[in-house]
Amino acid sequence: MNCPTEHALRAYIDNELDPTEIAAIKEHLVSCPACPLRLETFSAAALRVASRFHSLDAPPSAAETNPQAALARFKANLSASEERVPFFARLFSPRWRFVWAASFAAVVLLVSLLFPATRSFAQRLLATLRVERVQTVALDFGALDNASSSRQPLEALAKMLSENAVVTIDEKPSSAATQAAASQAVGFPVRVLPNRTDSPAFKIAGAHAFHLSLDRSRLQDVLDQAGRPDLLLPASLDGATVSVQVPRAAAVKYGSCKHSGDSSGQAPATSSTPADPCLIVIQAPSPLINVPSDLNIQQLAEIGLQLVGWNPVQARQFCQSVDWRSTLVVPISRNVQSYETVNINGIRGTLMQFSNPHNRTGPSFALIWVDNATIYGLIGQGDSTSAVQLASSLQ
Amino acid sequence: MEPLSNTLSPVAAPADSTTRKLSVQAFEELFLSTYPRVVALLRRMLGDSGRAEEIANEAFLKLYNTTLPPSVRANIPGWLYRTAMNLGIDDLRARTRHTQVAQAASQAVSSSAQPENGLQRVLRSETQQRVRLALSKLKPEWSQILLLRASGYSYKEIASHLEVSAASVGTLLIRAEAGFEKCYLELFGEKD
Repeated sequence: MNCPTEHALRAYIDNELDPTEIAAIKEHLVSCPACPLRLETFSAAALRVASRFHSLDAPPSAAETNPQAALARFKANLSASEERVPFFARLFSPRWRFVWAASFAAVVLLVSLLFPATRSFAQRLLATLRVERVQTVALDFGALDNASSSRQPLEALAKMLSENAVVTIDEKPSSAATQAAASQAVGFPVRVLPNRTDSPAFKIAGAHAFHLSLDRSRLQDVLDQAGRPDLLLPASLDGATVSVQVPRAAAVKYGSCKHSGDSSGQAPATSSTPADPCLIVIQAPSPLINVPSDLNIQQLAEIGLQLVGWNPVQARQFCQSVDWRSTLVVPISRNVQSYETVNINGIRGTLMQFSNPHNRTGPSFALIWVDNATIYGLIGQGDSTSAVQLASSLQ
Repeated sequence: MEPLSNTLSPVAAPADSTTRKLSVQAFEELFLSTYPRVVALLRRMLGDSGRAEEIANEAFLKLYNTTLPPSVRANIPGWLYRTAMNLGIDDLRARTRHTQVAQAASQAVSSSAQPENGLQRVLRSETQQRVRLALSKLKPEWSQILLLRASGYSYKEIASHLEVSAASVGTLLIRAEAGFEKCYLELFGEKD
């Protein structure tokens, strides 16, 4: 007989083998010069550990748990918590998860659907979603862009997410002929630019929903691969289910936009003329994201920021300054040449100017703001000086 | 509790993509059969019966509220055990950070009517603190298997709860024990 496996020897110690296996191991131990020592080593370690754990044994006086009584308490707590809180507040309570009104990921996703070249930009921004206000954060993705070894963890992350996600709704994009038809299709009034005389194209992005179960050890592997094994993910992350619902959204497209998602494969059209500059107005109701109530978003955000090069103190300070449940966090990457806070009918928005030498067909500016739980994005090529005025004029 | 029409066996729920959650009946059956064992496991981990029950309730609440993916529905008790133990480990880590482990451990001992003399009690309390500190530092997978084993779970149960192959439990135990001893040695500088 070959030497028994580690498993078999350990199981032998715990008397977890069947009689024939036990007999075979006993017989082997008599003749093998090495295995009695292996057995002794495993057995001694098991005994030492067991004796330490023995100190944790509950005292004999510990009360037996009565499951019937516990279930009755559980149900009482459940109904009490459901009845006490008004419906609206319940939506925002941790138990019912919260409504993350705006999703940067969704905006970036939409941008990336319209401008394929920015897709890799979108893929980096996986976790920060929010609603009531816009907060910018400067991130230097330079290192991640250039070093292929740093890209690996992100690819591993994307792979894990795509393998684990269960897609329940996946509508295809469609078009609408008129403002009224677009409004009907998306279920909310689609706003247009009243001062543009050319008629826009209405694109409808389909609704999407998926859920996925997080695998802590694989996520930790991602951190390890990124060279940050010191960043420890909370154990409660494991098995946590995150579900995401993205409602239908509308994109109103003016002018001739280069590479605007038409997969015609043709060369880009000539520059848009000043008379009808390319402008796309994205209007997306905030996605709903359900995460376990005990999932510490701030902690995860801190880990994320450290992963992209922030020091722990900076990361903590920033994360503490942001209410992660209601803020649209807009990462400013090196593609963003400048950004400024602007005022759109009393609402704070962020106007970003892109400088993207590799992607001349992409957007040159994006104005993002959140109004009434709807995320608006005004994206264009060319001059951004009238962006705020255009945004304020939406009807 | 909201009525749910689909009934699942709590032990081996079919991976039916139309079934979003456990039926009330299946949930209650699972609660009654599993709750005492989960609480006992957490009590051993945390040394605090009240906290053990709180965390067990939290784990069941998660189960109640969560839409489980098909991969989980095939082994719901396993998901529940792992979730409860992970919540316990997070709790241990939080307490470790606030250096409350010592207090909790000594409270747990002093409140029990144990026929131990003073010295035994002190030694036992010290070992408890140290084991819990080590458990909070180890890879969660190792802490889980050591706790299950110390609580008398069979290899078959361990394999099912941790979703590992039954023929690897012994090897995993050896790894976890070696990891535990190394961690213990680094923390406290003693082996025996």
